[in-house]
Amino acid sequence: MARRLPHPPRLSTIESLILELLIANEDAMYGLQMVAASRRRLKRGTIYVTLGRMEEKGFITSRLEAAPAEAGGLPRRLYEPTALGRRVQAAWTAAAQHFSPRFAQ
Amino acid sequence: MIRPGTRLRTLAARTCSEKTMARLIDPVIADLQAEYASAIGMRRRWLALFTGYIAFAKMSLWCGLLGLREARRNWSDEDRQGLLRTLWLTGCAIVIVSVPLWLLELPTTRDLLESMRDTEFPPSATVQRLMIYLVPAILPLSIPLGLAMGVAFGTHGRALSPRLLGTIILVALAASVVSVINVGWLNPATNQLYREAIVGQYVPKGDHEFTLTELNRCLVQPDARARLGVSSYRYRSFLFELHQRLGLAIAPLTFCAFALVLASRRRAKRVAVVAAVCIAGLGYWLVRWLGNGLSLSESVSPQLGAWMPQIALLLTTILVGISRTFIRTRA
Repeated sequence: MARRLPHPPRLSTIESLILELLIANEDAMYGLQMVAASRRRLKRGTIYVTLGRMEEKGFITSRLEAAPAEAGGLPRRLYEPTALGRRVQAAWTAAAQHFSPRFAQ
Repeated sequence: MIRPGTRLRTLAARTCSEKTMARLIDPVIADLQAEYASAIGMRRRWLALFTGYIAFAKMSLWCGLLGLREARRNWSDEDRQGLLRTLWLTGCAIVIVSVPLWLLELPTTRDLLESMRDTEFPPSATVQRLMIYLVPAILPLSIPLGLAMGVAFGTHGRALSPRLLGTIILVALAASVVSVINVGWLNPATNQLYREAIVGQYVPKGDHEFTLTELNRCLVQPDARARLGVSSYRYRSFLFELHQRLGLAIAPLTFCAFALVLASRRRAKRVAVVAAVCIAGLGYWLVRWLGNGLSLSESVSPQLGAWMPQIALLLTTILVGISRTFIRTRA
């Protein structure tokens, strides 16, 4: 009987977009920055839910900024892709290219 | 000066876990504060506040949905069955209480309609339509009584987990919200439609036909009182009506508390518990009439008269609870 292979990491369209933005940007980004860079494809009310989920999956990592932009305010959370996130995004892009109808032509 | 979002954060910290705060709430608040601080000019600052609070509201909704999903996963079969049984019994009890009360109105409505047939403005409404208008008038009694019966019957003699207890209280709270909408706006509107359908023309609104907003406006604004020609007697009547409706709106909660305390008496038979709920419902209505009479005769303030049934039911609940604890301690 064939052994069941473990599921490969799954990536939604929004998660892929976030990883794409984070990889393209050399520095770590915070949520609003990603919303602005995504040209309205990401929403500021829901982005942190996706970011939290991606962090749990191990695609990204986060840390608090050293000093808040405005003294006294809460520090913002900065996000960076992990090595796993980069690999998954690369595999995802390759698979998407491979299976897209444009590539088949 | 307190930064925007600080109070919201404190509020959220009371209900959300540390992980949720760090990953979801704090980043949204940080964005709001950073945007507000960097915005130049009043208009941009207001916009930053508006978009920030909208984002916070969306995030809160998400947190609530995620919390519910998590809570549903952790429910035991016993809790799930207990809740379903209570909800099912509550629904049945509401229907069982509502239908006879509703049908009691049928002869009166039919007679009223017949008596108006030969007048100058004969009504065009049918009995069926008028009976539909009467449905919201039945709900202020049938919702709390039905809920109390469902809770008493569904939870009697069973150990309630904190989760199930909390959910039942949430159900009572939801019933309370439905009652607010009903006694505040729906019932006054259907009452007025009923009156106009019977008379066949416009009829000035009475106390029961004013919505909660209109009642409050009449009581708070002296101009509105003068414009409507509200006398001091009518003012007291309005005040009583307003407080009575608020009392009716929280009745599902007080009845639910009473039912939970009764149901926790394991030695009492289930039939006795349900009978006690019915007696409580009857007593509630009797005290309501008594409060109305005392208020109209100016023996007590309209507020006290209107809240008398709630106070009586709460005192009864406390007494039943205390007697249960006393019996258990002596045993």
